[in-house]
Amino acid sequence: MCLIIFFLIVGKLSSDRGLAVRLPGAIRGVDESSPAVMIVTVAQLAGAPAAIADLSTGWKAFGVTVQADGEAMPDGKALESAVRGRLSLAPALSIQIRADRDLPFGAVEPVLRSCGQAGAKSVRFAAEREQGAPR
Amino acid sequence: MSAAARRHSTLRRRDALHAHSMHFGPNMTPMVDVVMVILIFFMASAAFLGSEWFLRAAIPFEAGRGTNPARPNDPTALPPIKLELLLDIDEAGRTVVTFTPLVRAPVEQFFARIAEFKNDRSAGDIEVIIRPSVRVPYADVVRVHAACDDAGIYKLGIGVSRPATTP
Repeated sequence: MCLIIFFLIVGKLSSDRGLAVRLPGAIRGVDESSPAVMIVTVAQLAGAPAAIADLSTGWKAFGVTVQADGEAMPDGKALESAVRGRLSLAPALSIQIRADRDLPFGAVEPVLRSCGQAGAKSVRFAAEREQGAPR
Repeated sequence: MSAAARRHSTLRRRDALHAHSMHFGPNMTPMVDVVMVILIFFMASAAFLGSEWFLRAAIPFEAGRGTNPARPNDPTALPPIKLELLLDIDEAGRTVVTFTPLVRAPVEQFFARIAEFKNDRSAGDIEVIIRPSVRVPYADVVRVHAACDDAGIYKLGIGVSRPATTP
């Protein structure tokens, strides 16, 4: 019974967090305290270096793949509508951006823009605690 | 030991049922099982949650946020001090920072500059908009953001342009 509960919880955690990404380091940050959280994962596509696209119809042109709460987002409009839907249910929603540290900012910017256009006033960048950072 | 006693000890039953029947007190096996599962669960939770934290960044209005441009306005309030922090890449591919009075300075120089705000009590009133160019590594954007946060500048925004390249 304990094992079933254990695997259920770990499975839920891993599916919510989406793709595994290597987070950037930060000497300062805060713990998440919001009851409503939306996790947006921006991961580099395997074998495709992140590019700064001029005109594109999807995330692939940027060399990234984007998931919101574990669900793949085909383009910026889909992400915008997903964020808008969550914000309408929970206006105090905390949007966590989990982006790979090796990406250029240009690959993350369209995600921020979609969040902004959906009505989000702020986002939270997930980062790893650096060595020596205050707890 | 007599021969009879020795024979009795060698012929003693050694099967599990006999050992179980000779055992007194609570059975520890299920308890150890459950404790191990709980231990692994907490270790996995710590690995998932313990090593990361978050940096809050506002999305400025020019990104096209929302549909209503009205913002809260207190007529008696002093206008906030707004500073722009520009991040770019130099010819060698290193991140450079433009932030008063620095102009295209290396990131390490910026860290020294921003550390001066730590003793400034008015740092909390300053608004800083970080405007990275598209080629700046995301990791450097986060490092600069964290350095501002560490210096006591909490009103931080991330500059998002509004070109027609949204995928």
